[in-house]
Amino acid sequence: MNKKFTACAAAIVCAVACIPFSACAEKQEDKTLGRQLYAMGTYARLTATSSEISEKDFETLADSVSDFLYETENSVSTVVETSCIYKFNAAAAGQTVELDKTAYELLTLSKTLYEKTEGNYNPAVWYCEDLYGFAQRTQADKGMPYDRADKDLPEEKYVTAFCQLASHFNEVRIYEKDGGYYADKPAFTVKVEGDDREYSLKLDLGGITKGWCADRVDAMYGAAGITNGYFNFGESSMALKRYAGNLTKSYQLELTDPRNIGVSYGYLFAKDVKLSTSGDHLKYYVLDDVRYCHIIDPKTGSPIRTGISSATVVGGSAAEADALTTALSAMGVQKAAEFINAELSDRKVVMLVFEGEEGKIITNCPDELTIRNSAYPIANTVVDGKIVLN
Amino acid sequence: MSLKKIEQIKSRKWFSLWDIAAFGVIIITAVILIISFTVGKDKSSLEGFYVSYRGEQVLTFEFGSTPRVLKEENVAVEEVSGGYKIRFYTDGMDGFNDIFVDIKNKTVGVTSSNCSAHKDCVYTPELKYNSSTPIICTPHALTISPLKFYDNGVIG
Repeated sequence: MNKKFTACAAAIVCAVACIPFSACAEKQEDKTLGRQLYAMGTYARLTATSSEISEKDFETLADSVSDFLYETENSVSTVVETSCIYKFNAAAAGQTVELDKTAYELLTLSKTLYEKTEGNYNPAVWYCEDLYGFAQRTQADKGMPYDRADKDLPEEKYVTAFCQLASHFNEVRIYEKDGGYYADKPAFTVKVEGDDREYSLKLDLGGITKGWCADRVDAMYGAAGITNGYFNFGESSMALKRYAGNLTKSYQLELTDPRNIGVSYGYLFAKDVKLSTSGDHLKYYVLDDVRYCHIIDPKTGSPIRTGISSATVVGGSAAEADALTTALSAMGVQKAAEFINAELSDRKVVMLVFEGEEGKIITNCPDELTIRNSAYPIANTVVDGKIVLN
Repeated sequence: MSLKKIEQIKSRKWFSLWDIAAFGVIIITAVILIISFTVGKDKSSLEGFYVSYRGEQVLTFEFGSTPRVLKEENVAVEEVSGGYKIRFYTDGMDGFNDIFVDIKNKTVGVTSSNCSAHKDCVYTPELKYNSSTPIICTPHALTISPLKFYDNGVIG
């Protein structure tokens, strides 16, 4: 026994001792190159490994990504006065606005996803966002008639009017003509009793733009021949390549607990994939024990009250995933499960749902999800790849 | 060696229960060591941070040294008990964020701001690790980010 024990122990100790000279030694040679950028009110991180791209070329790539994010922001920002979306929002009802290619592509995709989600993703909720204090404002938007003290909720007449306004997003007409791109703003307007203003539709493409950028940066990585690394845009949209530091080449994707910021409630492994996530913890406030977050339910014109606190979609395009996470949050558990079963069976979806203080997980990939917080059990089974709610 | 002893050795089982238990412990230890080498969120303590305004760095700081001010019109540094108080100003000095650097605990966070009613930057957890999520003040286009970050295979 002693000899066998000593021999086996020595062999294992040798194997462990060799790790620094194998995987880790490789990691040291494969230096991680990283850059952090600031764009669209958040940060972006991109990484690669030095075995695939020189530091100089990586810096050039990072500069290109930075320029691209800057150009995109200048195209679709709601507060940059030269952006196409700013001009669209400032235009009178019924007017035609010229778009650049970026705004045209994003608006086209937005319309597709609006249809696909039956209006649960709707970028025309700018006024609803602003009503609850979540929209970015310009000087022109300061001192709106519906502004109020911080601790007050908006008047119902405004909620109803702006919800009605958003429901006319399907009347935005976009088209290409003589090499130019155009959008016709709906003629529909709303007025609110006791308020002289006439409100026309305003867009916020923030719910899709980060994902769209992640898709484009993923393509830039591909063109540069990079297979290891990632692009993380504000932790809401990501393009993951491979992680060079382990044998599976997978990244460990931690899912943030919206009720315990900085702590993960579970993780799954992913590589060569794009994904997006949304949560009610990113911007919110609490009034009378009710959480009001930045995700607007287009059906009510108010912050979501469906209980879906966080949604993550892994797979497909990041732009689509970006819009879908918002849409799923607005759908509610039953409809979201039906939508996932019908439309997203080729993607991994994880939702964290709260009923009061009780949290539970709804997912179509329970076998791939490792739960860190046992207080959040999986509340469904999966049969033939479909979610069956318990 | 006597024939009796040889027969005893021959008849002994290749693996006894205790052998298996001992090997099990060693293998589990080895697996834990391997995992700790390859997987696990970067918990290395914060080495430093930088403050950027509209994407441009205005201040950098490495623990063990003094703050390096890159744009004097946007930051004012004051040495206080336990660390540094850094006041960030937007252009025109309309907006401000107060940033506190805790030297002993190697952390940095925003303590007050006049940015908006919600003050997300004040409620964002302080930077504690090199992998900590940057603090962002959207109305003031301000970010406070770890000076270094590592791709250790864990995201989120």
